[in-house]
Amino acid sequence: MTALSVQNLNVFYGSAHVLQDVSFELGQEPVALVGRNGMGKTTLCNAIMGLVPTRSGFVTLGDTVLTGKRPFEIVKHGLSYVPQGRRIFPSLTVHEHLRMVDPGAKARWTIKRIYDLFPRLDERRHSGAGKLSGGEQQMLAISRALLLNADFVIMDEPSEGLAPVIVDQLVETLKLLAQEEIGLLVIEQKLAVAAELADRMLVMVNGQIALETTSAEMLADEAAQRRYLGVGTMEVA
Amino acid sequence: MQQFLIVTLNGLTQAALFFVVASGFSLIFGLMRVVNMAHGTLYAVSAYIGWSIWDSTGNWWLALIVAPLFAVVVGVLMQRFLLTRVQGDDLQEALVTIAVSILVGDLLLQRYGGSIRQVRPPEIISGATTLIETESLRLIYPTFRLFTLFAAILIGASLWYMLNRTKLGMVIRAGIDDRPMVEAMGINIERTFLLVFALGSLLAGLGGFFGASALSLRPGDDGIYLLSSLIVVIVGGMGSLGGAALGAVLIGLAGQYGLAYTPTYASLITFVIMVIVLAVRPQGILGRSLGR
Ligand SMILES: Nc1ncnc2c1ncn2[C@@H]1O[C@H](COP(=O)(O)OP(=O)(O)OP(=O)(O)O)[C@@H](O)[C@H]1O
Ligand SMILES: [Mg+2]
Repeated sequence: MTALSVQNLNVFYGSAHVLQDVSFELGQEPVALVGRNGMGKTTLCNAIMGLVPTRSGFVTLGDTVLTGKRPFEIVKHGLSYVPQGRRIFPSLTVHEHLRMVDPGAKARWTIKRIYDLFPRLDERRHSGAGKLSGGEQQMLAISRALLLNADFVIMDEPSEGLAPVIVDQLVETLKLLAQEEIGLLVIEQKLAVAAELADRMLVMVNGQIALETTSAEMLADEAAQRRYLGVGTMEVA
Repeated sequence: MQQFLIVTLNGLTQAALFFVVASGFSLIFGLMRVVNMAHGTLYAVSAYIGWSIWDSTGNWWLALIVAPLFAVVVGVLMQRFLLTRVQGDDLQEALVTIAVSILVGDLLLQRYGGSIRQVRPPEIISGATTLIETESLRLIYPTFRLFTLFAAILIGASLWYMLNRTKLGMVIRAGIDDRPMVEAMGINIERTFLLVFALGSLLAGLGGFFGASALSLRPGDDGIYLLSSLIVVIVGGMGSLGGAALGAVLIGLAGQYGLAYTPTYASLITFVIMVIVLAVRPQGILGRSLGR
Protein backbone atom coordinates (compact mmCIF):
# COMPACT_ATOMS: atom_id res chain seq x y z
CA MET A 1 0.00 0.00 0.00
CA THR A 2 1.28 3.46 -0.88
CA ALA A 3 1.71 5.91 1.91
CA LEU A 4 0.21 9.33 2.35
CA SER A 5 3.04 11.70 3.06
CA VAL A 6 2.95 15.27 4.32
CA GLN A 7 6.20 17.19 3.93
CA ASN A 8 6.99 20.58 5.43
CA LEU A 9 3.46 21.86 4.98
CA ASN A 10 2.91 25.55 5.71
CA VAL A 11 -0.44 27.27 5.82
CA PHE A 12 -1.26 30.89 6.56
CA TYR A 13 -4.57 32.59 7.30
CA GLY A 14 -3.65 36.11 6.29
CA SER A 15 -0.48 36.71 8.26
CA ALA A 16 -1.20 34.03 10.86
CA HIS A 17 1.15 31.10 10.36
CA VAL A 18 -1.28 28.33 11.28
CA LEU A 19 0.62 25.27 10.07
CA GLN A 20 4.38 25.35 10.46
CA ASP A 21 6.50 22.80 8.62
CA VAL A 22 4.20 19.91 9.37
CA SER A 23 5.58 16.55 8.24
CA PHE A 24 4.45 12.99 8.83
CA GLU A 25 3.68 9.78 6.99
CA LEU A 26 0.55 7.74 7.10
CA GLY A 27 0.47 4.12 6.05
CA GLN A 28 -1.73 1.20 6.81
CA GLU A 29 -1.49 1.74 10.55
CA PRO A 30 -4.07 4.15 12.02
CA VAL A 31 -2.74 7.40 13.44
CA ALA A 32 -4.35 9.67 16.02
CA LEU A 33 -3.65 13.37 16.04
CA VAL A 34 -4.38 15.15 19.30
CA GLY A 35 -3.96 18.68 20.51
CA ARG A 36 -5.75 21.52 22.21
CA ASN A 37 -8.38 23.72 20.65
CA GLY A 38 -7.17 26.04 17.94
CA MET A 39 -3.83 24.30 17.43
CA GLY A 40 -4.42 23.75 13.70
CA LYS A 41 -5.75 20.19 13.52
CA THR A 42 -8.73 21.03 11.32
CA THR A 43 -6.54 23.27 9.19
CA LEU A 44 -4.23 20.33 8.59
CA CYS A 45 -7.16 18.18 7.42
CA ASN A 46 -8.41 20.93 5.16
CA ALA A 47 -4.95 21.50 3.74
CA ILE A 48 -4.51 17.80 2.93
CA MET A 49 -7.93 17.73 1.26
CA GLY A 50 -7.19 20.81 -0.82
CA LEU A 51 -9.85 22.85 0.96
CA VAL A 52 -7.43 25.56 2.11
CA PRO A 53 -4.48 26.80 0.06
CA THR A 54 -0.99 25.89 1.23
CA ARG A 55 1.94 28.28 1.14
CA SER A 56 4.64 25.65 0.76
CA GLY A 57 5.31 21.97 1.28
CA PHE A 58 3.80 18.89 -0.27
CA VAL A 59 1.20 16.25 0.28
CA THR A 60 1.89 13.14 -1.77
CA LEU A 61 0.17 9.83 -2.18
CA GLY A 62 2.72 7.37 -3.49
CA ASP A 63 4.24 9.19 -6.44
CA THR A 64 1.31 11.54 -6.94
CA VAL A 65 1.59 15.09 -5.64
CA LEU A 66 -1.79 16.11 -4.25
CA THR A 67 -0.86 19.66 -3.29
CA GLY A 68 -2.45 22.15 -5.65
CA LYS A 69 -5.10 19.74 -6.86
CA ARG A 70 -8.80 20.45 -6.44
CA PRO A 71 -10.53 18.62 -3.58
CA PHE A 72 -12.56 16.42 -5.93
CA GLU A 73 -9.37 15.30 -7.67
CA ILE A 74 -7.76 14.51 -4.33
CA VAL A 75 -10.76 12.36 -3.48
CA LYS A 76 -10.41 10.57 -6.82
CA HIS A 77 -6.81 9.75 -5.89
CA GLY A 78 -8.02 7.87 -2.84
CA LEU A 79 -8.59 10.18 0.11
CA SER A 80 -11.87 10.82 1.83
CA TYR A 81 -12.90 13.14 4.58
CA VAL A 82 -15.25 13.14 7.56
CA PRO A 83 -15.16 16.77 8.64
CA GLN A 84 -15.47 18.30 12.08
CA GLY A 85 -19.10 19.08 12.86
CA ARG A 86 -20.16 16.39 10.35
CA ARG A 87 -21.33 18.90 7.76
CA ILE A 88 -24.09 16.74 6.36
CA PHE A 89 -26.39 18.41 3.83
CA PRO A 90 -29.64 19.41 5.58
CA SER A 91 -31.47 19.68 2.24
CA LEU A 92 -30.90 16.02 1.39
CA THR A 93 -32.41 12.86 2.83
CA VAL A 94 -30.21 10.09 4.18
CA HIS A 95 -30.66 8.09 1.01
CA GLU A 96 -29.88 11.05 -1.20
CA HIS A 97 -26.55 11.52 0.55
CA LEU A 98 -25.62 8.01 -0.40
CA ARG A 99 -27.05 8.18 -3.91
CA MET A 100 -25.05 11.32 -4.58
CA VAL A 101 -21.85 9.32 -4.26
CA ASP A 102 -23.21 5.90 -5.28
CA PRO A 103 -20.19 3.87 -6.40
CA GLY A 104 -22.32 1.15 -8.02
CA ALA A 105 -22.86 -2.44 -7.03
CA LYS A 106 -19.34 -3.70 -7.78
CA ALA A 107 -17.48 -1.44 -5.41
CA ARG A 108 -16.10 -2.60 -2.09
CA TRP A 109 -18.41 -0.31 -0.19
CA THR A 110 -21.90 -0.21 -1.64
CA ILE A 111 -25.06 1.50 -0.45
CA LYS A 112 -26.40 -1.89 0.54
CA ARG A 113 -23.37 -2.62 2.66
CA ILE A 114 -23.74 0.73 4.38
CA TYR A 115 -27.34 -0.04 5.28
CA ASP A 116 -26.28 -3.45 6.58
CA LEU A 117 -23.61 -1.83 8.73
CA PHE A 118 -25.91 0.94 9.96
CA PRO A 119 -29.48 -0.43 10.13
CA ARG A 120 -30.46 2.81 11.84
CA LEU A 121 -29.71 4.72 8.63
CA ASP A 122 -31.73 2.22 6.65
CA GLU A 123 -34.73 2.85 8.91
CA ARG A 124 -34.35 6.56 8.42
CA ARG A 125 -33.38 6.57 4.78
CA HIS A 126 -36.12 8.97 3.77
CA SER A 127 -35.65 11.36 6.67
CA GLY A 128 -34.13 14.75 6.08
CA ALA A 129 -30.52 14.55 7.23
CA GLY A 130 -30.98 17.70 9.29
CA LYS A 131 -33.52 15.87 11.46
CA LEU A 132 -31.14 13.09 12.47
CA SER A 133 -29.59 12.87 15.92
CA GLY A 134 -25.92 13.73 16.30
CA GLY A 135 -24.90 10.09 16.30
CA GLU A 136 -26.95 9.32 13.21
CA GLN A 137 -25.47 12.32 11.44
CA GLN A 138 -22.01 11.05 12.26
CA MET A 139 -22.89 7.61 10.86
CA LEU A 140 -24.08 9.34 7.71
CA ALA A 141 -20.94 11.45 7.41
CA ILE A 142 -18.84 8.31 7.78
CA SER A 143 -21.03 6.40 5.33
CA ARG A 144 -20.70 8.88 2.53
CA ALA A 145 -16.94 8.94 3.06
CA LEU A 146 -16.80 5.13 2.93
CA LEU A 147 -18.77 5.07 -0.31
CA LEU A 148 -15.93 6.97 -1.94
CA ASN A 149 -13.97 3.74 -1.45
CA ALA A 150 -10.85 5.61 -0.51
CA ASP A 151 -7.53 4.16 0.63
CA PHE A 152 -7.29 6.74 3.39
CA VAL A 153 -9.96 8.33 5.52
CA ILE A 154 -9.33 11.51 7.47
CA MET A 155 -11.72 12.03 10.37
CA ASP A 156 -11.88 15.26 12.31
CA GLU A 157 -13.21 14.74 15.83
CA PRO A 158 -15.81 12.09 14.98
CA SER A 159 -16.77 11.61 18.63
CA GLU A 160 -17.41 15.30 19.30
CA GLY A 161 -20.78 15.93 20.91
CA LEU A 162 -21.84 12.28 21.02
CA ALA A 163 -23.17 10.37 24.02
CA PRO A 164 -20.72 7.85 25.54
CA VAL A 165 -22.72 4.81 24.34
CA ILE A 166 -22.71 6.16 20.81
CA VAL A 167 -18.98 6.83 21.03
CA ASP A 168 -18.43 3.18 21.90
CA GLN A 169 -20.36 2.09 18.83
CA LEU A 170 -18.39 4.55 16.75
CA VAL A 171 -15.10 3.12 17.97
CA GLU A 172 -16.24 -0.37 17.03
CA THR A 173 -17.15 0.81 13.55
CA LEU A 174 -13.89 2.63 13.02
CA LYS A 175 -11.90 -0.41 14.08
CA LEU A 176 -13.51 -2.09 11.09
CA LEU A 177 -11.62 0.27 8.81
CA ALA A 178 -8.28 -1.11 9.94
CA GLN A 179 -9.49 -4.62 9.08
CA GLU A 180 -10.54 -3.30 5.69
CA GLU A 181 -7.01 -2.03 5.12
CA ILE A 182 -8.16 1.55 5.02
CA GLY A 183 -5.63 4.00 6.40
CA LEU A 184 -7.04 6.25 9.10
CA LEU A 185 -5.96 9.64 10.38
CA VAL A 186 -8.23 10.50 13.25
CA ILE A 187 -8.26 13.81 15.08
CA GLU A 188 -9.52 13.23 18.59
CA GLN A 189 -9.89 15.30 21.73
CA LYS A 190 -10.79 12.34 23.91
CA LEU A 191 -7.53 10.64 24.72
CA ALA A 192 -9.20 7.34 25.62
CA VAL A 193 -10.97 7.22 22.29
CA ALA A 194 -7.81 8.13 20.41
CA ALA A 195 -5.94 5.37 22.24
CA GLU A 196 -8.55 2.79 21.29
CA LEU A 197 -8.33 3.69 17.65
CA ALA A 198 -4.60 4.10 17.16
CA ASP A 199 -1.32 3.17 18.76
CA ARG A 200 0.61 5.81 16.92
CA MET A 201 -0.07 9.30 18.17
CA LEU A 202 0.93 12.74 16.94
CA VAL A 203 0.58 15.79 19.15
CA MET A 204 0.01 19.18 17.60
CA VAL A 205 0.95 22.40 19.36
CA ASN A 206 0.64 25.79 17.71
CA GLY A 207 0.64 24.45 14.20
CA GLN A 208 3.58 22.11 14.67
CA ILE A 209 3.86 18.41 15.32
CA ALA A 210 5.38 18.81 18.77
CA LEU A 211 5.61 15.16 19.67
CA GLU A 212 5.28 11.76 18.13
CA THR A 213 4.50 9.07 20.66
CA THR A 214 2.29 6.09 21.33
CA SER A 215 -1.13 6.13 22.91
CA ALA A 216 0.06 3.93 25.73
CA GLU A 217 2.86 6.30 26.65
CA MET A 218 0.58 9.31 26.50
CA LEU A 219 -2.04 7.62 28.66
CA ALA A 220 0.60 6.81 31.24
CA ASP A 221 2.20 10.24 31.29
CA GLU A 222 0.05 12.74 33.11
CA ALA A 223 2.66 15.46 32.87
CA ALA A 224 2.66 15.19 29.08
CA GLN A 225 -1.13 15.25 29.05
CA ARG A 226 -1.13 18.45 31.04
CA ARG A 227 1.58 19.96 28.94
CA TYR A 228 0.30 19.10 25.48
CA LEU A 229 -3.38 18.66 25.95
CA GLY A 230 -4.20 20.93 28.85
CA VAL A 231 -6.05 19.97 31.94
CA GLY A 232 -9.78 20.31 31.63
CA THR A 233 -9.92 20.62 27.85
CA MET A 234 -9.04 16.96 27.52
CA GLU A 235 -11.40 14.31 28.75
CA VAL A 236 -9.45 11.23 29.70
CA ALA A 237 -12.46 9.08 30.46
CA MET B 1 -66.43 40.25 -12.11
CA GLN B 2 -65.26 39.84 -15.67
CA GLN B 3 -62.67 42.54 -15.25
CA PHE B 4 -61.45 40.98 -12.04
CA LEU B 5 -60.97 37.61 -13.72
CA ILE B 6 -59.14 39.15 -16.67
CA VAL B 7 -56.87 41.11 -14.36
CA THR B 8 -56.19 37.94 -12.39
CA LEU B 9 -55.29 36.05 -15.55
CA ASN B 10 -53.04 38.92 -16.63
CA GLY B 11 -51.38 38.77 -13.24
CA LEU B 12 -50.86 35.04 -13.57
CA THR B 13 -49.41 35.41 -17.07
CA GLN B 14 -46.99 37.96 -15.77
CA ALA B 15 -46.26 35.66 -12.82
CA ALA B 16 -45.54 32.80 -15.20
CA LEU B 17 -42.90 34.86 -16.98
CA PHE B 18 -41.47 36.14 -13.72
CA PHE B 19 -41.30 32.61 -12.39
CA VAL B 20 -39.49 31.14 -15.37
CA VAL B 21 -36.93 33.97 -15.43
CA ALA B 22 -36.52 34.25 -11.65
CA SER B 23 -36.15 30.51 -11.07
CA GLY B 24 -33.04 30.63 -13.25
CA PHE B 25 -31.74 33.64 -11.35
CA SER B 26 -32.45 31.96 -8.03
CA LEU B 27 -30.76 28.71 -9.04
CA ILE B 28 -27.58 30.53 -10.04
CA PHE B 29 -27.58 32.60 -6.88
CA GLY B 30 -28.45 29.68 -4.63
CA LEU B 31 -25.60 27.47 -5.77
CA MET B 32 -22.95 29.90 -6.83
CA ARG B 33 -23.75 32.96 -4.71
CA VAL B 34 -23.44 34.99 -7.88
CA VAL B 35 -25.88 37.84 -8.28
CA ASN B 36 -26.01 37.73 -12.04
CA MET B 37 -26.78 41.31 -13.02
CA ALA B 38 -26.84 40.20 -16.65
CA HIS B 39 -29.76 37.83 -16.11
CA GLY B 40 -32.23 40.26 -17.70
CA THR B 41 -29.82 40.65 -20.59
CA LEU B 42 -30.03 36.93 -21.26
CA TYR B 43 -33.81 37.38 -21.36
CA ALA B 44 -33.43 40.16 -23.94
CA VAL B 45 -30.85 38.30 -26.05
CA SER B 46 -33.22 35.39 -26.49
CA ALA B 47 -36.22 37.64 -27.07
CA TYR B 48 -34.56 39.67 -29.83
CA ILE B 49 -32.83 36.75 -31.50
CA GLY B 50 -36.08 34.83 -31.30
CA TRP B 51 -37.82 37.74 -32.97
CA SER B 52 -35.22 37.72 -35.77
CA ILE B 53 -35.55 34.00 -36.36
CA TRP B 54 -39.32 34.22 -36.36
CA ASP B 55 -39.26 37.30 -38.59
CA SER B 56 -36.97 35.76 -41.19
CA THR B 57 -38.24 32.17 -41.22
CA GLY B 58 -41.78 32.57 -39.97
CA ASN B 59 -41.14 29.46 -37.88
CA TRP B 60 -42.12 30.15 -34.26
CA TRP B 61 -41.21 26.68 -33.01
CA LEU B 62 -37.73 26.92 -34.49
CA ALA B 63 -37.26 30.26 -32.75
CA LEU B 64 -38.53 28.76 -29.47
CA ILE B 65 -35.81 26.12 -29.61
CA VAL B 66 -32.92 28.15 -31.00
CA ALA B 67 -33.29 31.56 -29.34
CA PRO B 68 -32.89 30.39 -25.70
CA LEU B 69 -29.75 28.54 -26.79
CA PHE B 70 -28.20 31.90 -27.61
CA ALA B 71 -28.89 32.98 -24.05
CA VAL B 72 -27.18 29.77 -22.90
CA VAL B 73 -24.13 30.50 -25.04
CA VAL B 74 -23.81 34.04 -23.71
CA GLY B 75 -24.34 32.87 -20.12
CA VAL B 76 -21.87 30.00 -20.34
CA LEU B 77 -19.19 32.13 -22.00
CA MET B 78 -19.63 34.74 -19.29
CA GLN B 79 -19.32 32.14 -16.53
CA ARG B 80 -16.45 30.26 -18.13
CA PHE B 81 -14.27 33.18 -19.17
CA LEU B 82 -15.23 36.07 -16.91
CA LEU B 83 -16.83 34.92 -13.68
CA THR B 84 -14.34 32.14 -12.94
CA ARG B 85 -11.65 34.82 -12.80
CA VAL B 86 -13.36 36.75 -10.05
CA GLN B 87 -14.98 33.82 -8.24
CA GLY B 88 -15.91 34.51 -4.64
CA ASP B 89 -15.56 38.28 -4.93
CA ASP B 90 -19.13 39.56 -4.81
CA LEU B 91 -18.35 43.09 -5.90
CA GLN B 92 -16.27 42.05 -8.88
CA GLU B 93 -18.86 39.49 -9.90
CA ALA B 94 -21.52 42.17 -9.85
CA LEU B 95 -19.32 44.57 -11.81
CA VAL B 96 -18.42 41.98 -14.44
CA THR B 97 -22.04 41.01 -15.00
CA ILE B 98 -23.13 44.66 -15.10
CA ALA B 99 -20.45 45.30 -17.73
CA VAL B 100 -21.78 42.41 -19.81
CA SER B 101 -25.32 43.69 -19.46
CA ILE B 102 -24.36 47.19 -20.63
CA LEU B 103 -22.31 45.92 -23.55
CA VAL B 104 -24.88 43.43 -24.78
CA GLY B 105 -27.72 45.85 -24.11
CA ASP B 106 -26.10 48.48 -26.33
CA LEU B 107 -25.36 45.96 -29.04
CA LEU B 108 -29.02 44.95 -29.04
CA LEU B 109 -30.11 48.57 -29.17
CA GLN B 110 -27.78 49.22 -32.09
CA ARG B 111 -29.03 46.21 -33.97
CA TYR B 112 -32.75 46.43 -33.20
CA GLY B 113 -33.38 50.08 -32.38
CA GLY B 114 -35.96 51.30 -29.92
CA SER B 115 -39.24 50.22 -31.45
CA ILE B 116 -41.64 47.84 -29.76
CA ARG B 117 -41.78 44.42 -31.34
CA GLN B 118 -43.89 41.36 -30.91
CA VAL B 119 -43.55 37.78 -32.00
CA ARG B 120 -46.76 36.24 -33.28
CA PRO B 121 -47.17 32.62 -32.20
CA PRO B 122 -48.56 30.04 -34.66
CA GLU B 123 -52.28 29.63 -35.30
CA ILE B 124 -53.00 26.72 -32.97
CA ILE B 125 -51.77 28.55 -29.92
CA SER B 126 -52.83 32.08 -30.84
CA GLY B 127 -56.22 33.69 -31.12
CA ALA B 128 -58.66 33.68 -28.23
CA THR B 129 -60.10 30.98 -26.05
CA THR B 130 -63.50 31.16 -24.43
CA LEU B 131 -63.07 30.09 -20.83
CA ILE B 132 -66.53 30.82 -19.44
CA GLU B 133 -69.72 31.33 -21.40
CA THR B 134 -72.91 31.89 -19.41
CA GLU B 135 -75.71 34.41 -19.71
CA SER B 136 -74.23 36.67 -17.11
CA LEU B 137 -70.53 36.11 -17.71
CA ARG B 138 -68.40 35.71 -20.80
CA LEU B 139 -64.66 35.25 -20.34
CA ILE B 140 -62.43 35.25 -23.40
CA TYR B 141 -58.69 35.24 -23.04
CA PRO B 142 -55.73 35.18 -25.48
CA THR B 143 -54.86 31.54 -26.10
CA PHE B 144 -51.15 32.16 -26.10
CA ARG B 145 -51.21 33.60 -22.60
CA LEU B 146 -52.92 30.46 -21.39
CA PHE B 147 -50.28 28.48 -23.22
CA THR B 148 -47.61 30.52 -21.43
CA LEU B 149 -49.18 29.67 -18.08
CA PHE B 150 -49.24 26.02 -19.03
CA ALA B 151 -45.62 26.14 -20.22
CA ALA B 152 -44.50 27.77 -16.97
CA ILE B 153 -46.17 25.05 -14.95
CA LEU B 154 -44.51 22.42 -17.13
CA ILE B 155 -41.13 24.11 -16.73
CA GLY B 156 -41.64 24.37 -12.98
CA ALA B 157 -42.56 20.68 -12.75
CA SER B 158 -39.49 19.70 -14.79
CA LEU B 159 -37.27 21.79 -12.57
CA TRP B 160 -38.83 20.25 -9.49
CA TYR B 161 -38.18 16.79 -10.89
CA MET B 162 -34.60 17.63 -11.78
CA LEU B 163 -33.88 19.11 -8.35
CA ASN B 164 -35.58 16.39 -6.33
CA ARG B 165 -35.20 13.20 -8.30
CA THR B 166 -31.93 13.36 -10.19
CA LYS B 167 -28.33 13.12 -9.06
CA LEU B 168 -27.63 16.54 -10.56
CA GLY B 169 -30.42 17.96 -8.44
CA MET B 170 -28.98 16.38 -5.31
CA VAL B 171 -25.58 17.86 -6.07
CA ILE B 172 -27.15 21.28 -6.61
CA ARG B 173 -29.10 21.16 -3.35
CA ALA B 174 -26.09 19.88 -1.46
CA GLY B 175 -24.03 22.64 -3.06
CA ILE B 176 -26.49 25.25 -1.84
CA ASP B 177 -25.98 23.83 1.69
CA ASP B 178 -22.21 23.43 1.70
CA ARG B 179 -20.21 23.87 -1.46
CA PRO B 180 -16.71 22.82 -0.31
CA MET B 181 -18.14 19.65 1.21
CA VAL B 182 -19.63 18.67 -2.15
CA GLU B 183 -16.18 18.89 -3.66
CA ALA B 184 -14.82 16.81 -0.81
CA MET B 185 -17.30 14.15 -1.96
CA GLY B 186 -15.31 13.82 -5.17
CA ILE B 187 -17.68 15.94 -7.23
CA ASN B 188 -16.40 18.50 -9.70
CA ILE B 189 -18.49 21.42 -8.57
CA GLU B 190 -17.04 23.72 -11.23
CA ARG B 191 -18.67 21.55 -13.85
CA THR B 192 -21.93 21.69 -11.93
CA PHE B 193 -21.58 25.49 -11.84
CA LEU B 194 -21.34 25.56 -15.60
CA LEU B 195 -24.38 23.32 -15.95
CA VAL B 196 -26.37 25.43 -13.53
CA PHE B 197 -25.33 28.60 -15.31
CA ALA B 198 -26.43 27.05 -18.58
CA LEU B 199 -29.74 26.02 -17.06
CA GLY B 200 -30.31 29.44 -15.47
CA SER B 201 -29.53 31.12 -18.79
CA LEU B 202 -31.86 28.74 -20.60
CA LEU B 203 -34.66 29.72 -18.25
CA ALA B 204 -33.99 33.42 -18.80
CA GLY B 205 -33.97 32.73 -22.53
CA LEU B 206 -37.22 30.77 -22.48
CA GLY B 207 -38.79 33.55 -20.45
CA GLY B 208 -37.56 36.08 -22.99
CA PHE B 209 -39.01 34.35 -25.99
CA PHE B 210 -42.31 33.66 -24.24
CA GLY B 211 -42.42 37.26 -23.07
CA ALA B 212 -41.86 38.55 -26.59
CA SER B 213 -44.69 36.30 -27.80
CA ALA B 214 -47.20 36.79 -24.99
CA LEU B 215 -46.60 40.47 -24.31
CA SER B 216 -44.07 42.48 -26.24
CA LEU B 217 -40.42 43.28 -26.58
CA ARG B 218 -38.85 46.67 -26.05
CA PRO B 219 -35.62 48.24 -24.86
CA GLY B 220 -35.54 48.21 -21.10
CA ASP B 221 -37.08 44.76 -20.77
CA ASP B 222 -33.69 43.48 -19.63
CA GLY B 223 -33.74 45.86 -16.66
CA ILE B 224 -37.36 45.08 -15.85
CA TYR B 225 -36.81 41.34 -15.75
CA LEU B 226 -33.60 41.65 -13.77
CA LEU B 227 -35.37 43.80 -11.22
CA SER B 228 -38.39 41.52 -11.09
CA SER B 229 -36.14 38.49 -10.65
CA LEU B 230 -34.41 40.21 -7.75
CA ILE B 231 -37.71 41.12 -6.12
CA VAL B 232 -39.25 37.69 -6.70
CA VAL B 233 -36.36 35.86 -5.06
CA ILE B 234 -36.07 38.38 -2.24
CA VAL B 235 -39.76 37.88 -1.50
CA GLY B 236 -39.90 34.13 -2.13
CA GLY B 237 -36.47 33.14 -0.81
CA MET B 238 -33.13 32.77 -2.57
CA GLY B 239 -32.32 29.36 -4.00
CA SER B 240 -35.82 27.99 -3.44
CA LEU B 241 -37.94 26.84 -6.37
CA GLY B 242 -41.18 27.04 -4.41
CA GLY B 243 -40.10 30.48 -3.25
CA ALA B 244 -39.62 31.64 -6.82
CA ALA B 245 -43.10 30.39 -7.71
CA LEU B 246 -44.73 32.01 -4.71
CA GLY B 247 -42.82 35.25 -5.14
CA ALA B 248 -43.69 35.38 -8.83
CA VAL B 249 -47.40 34.88 -8.21
CA LEU B 250 -47.43 37.51 -5.46
CA ILE B 251 -45.54 40.09 -7.47
CA GLY B 252 -47.32 39.28 -10.74
CA LEU B 253 -50.79 39.57 -9.21
CA ALA B 254 -49.96 42.59 -7.08
CA GLY B 255 -48.61 44.40 -10.14
CA GLN B 256 -51.70 43.76 -12.26
CA TYR B 257 -54.25 44.41 -9.49
CA GLY B 258 -52.36 47.59 -8.74
CA LEU B 259 -52.46 48.72 -12.35
CA ALA B 260 -56.17 47.98 -12.61
CA TYR B 261 -57.44 49.32 -9.33
CA THR B 262 -54.93 51.87 -8.04
CA PRO B 263 -52.83 52.87 -11.04
CA THR B 264 -51.15 55.69 -9.14
CA TYR B 265 -49.69 53.38 -6.52
CA ALA B 266 -49.18 50.30 -8.68
CA SER B 267 -45.41 50.24 -8.59
CA LEU B 268 -45.43 51.07 -4.91
CA ILE B 269 -47.35 47.91 -3.96
CA THR B 270 -44.52 45.67 -5.12
CA PHE B 271 -42.05 47.51 -2.95
CA VAL B 272 -44.38 47.51 0.03
CA ILE B 273 -44.56 43.72 -0.24
CA MET B 274 -40.81 43.55 -0.45
CA VAL B 275 -40.29 45.81 2.55
CA ILE B 276 -42.76 43.83 4.66
CA VAL B 277 -41.09 40.53 3.78
CA LEU B 278 -37.65 41.93 4.46
CA ALA B 279 -38.77 43.25 7.82
CA VAL B 280 -40.60 40.13 8.96
CA ARG B 281 -38.70 37.35 7.22
CA PRO B 282 -35.45 38.59 5.71
CA GLN B 283 -34.56 35.23 4.18
CA GLY B 284 -37.75 35.33 2.08
CA ILE B 285 -41.07 33.58 2.65
CA LEU B 286 -39.79 30.10 1.77
CA GLY B 287 -36.09 30.79 2.19
CA ARG B 288 -33.90 29.11 4.73
CA SER B 289 -31.75 31.47 6.71
CA LEU B 290 -28.31 31.45 5.20
CA GLY B 291 -26.61 31.04 8.53
CA ARG B 292 -23.15 29.83 7.70
N1 LIG C 1 -10.94 30.40 8.13
C1 LIG C 1 -10.08 30.88 9.05
N2 LIG C 1 -9.58 32.14 8.94
C2 LIG C 1 -8.71 32.61 9.85
N3 LIG C 1 -8.28 31.94 10.91
C3 LIG C 1 -8.73 30.69 11.09
C4 LIG C 1 -9.66 30.09 10.17
N4 LIG C 1 -9.95 28.85 10.59
C5 LIG C 1 -9.23 28.66 11.71
N5 LIG C 1 -8.51 29.76 12.01
C6 LIG C 1 -7.58 29.90 13.14
O1 LIG C 1 -6.51 29.01 12.91
C7 LIG C 1 -6.14 28.34 14.10
C8 LIG C 1 -6.26 26.85 13.94
O2 LIG C 1 -7.63 26.51 13.80
P1 LIG C 1 -8.12 25.01 13.60
O3 LIG C 1 -9.57 25.06 13.36
O4 LIG C 1 -7.27 24.36 12.58
O5 LIG C 1 -7.81 24.40 15.03
P2 LIG C 1 -8.24 23.02 15.64
O6 LIG C 1 -7.00 22.44 16.22
O7 LIG C 1 -8.97 22.20 14.66
O8 LIG C 1 -9.20 23.44 16.83
P3 LIG C 1 -10.49 22.68 17.44
O9 LIG C 1 -9.96 21.66 18.40
O10 LIG C 1 -11.21 23.75 18.17
O11 LIG C 1 -11.26 22.10 16.33
C9 LIG C 1 -7.03 28.91 15.20
O12 LIG C 1 -6.32 29.91 15.86
C10 LIG C 1 -8.20 29.48 14.45
O13 LIG C 1 -8.72 30.58 15.14
MG1 LIG D 1 -10.81 21.43 14.63
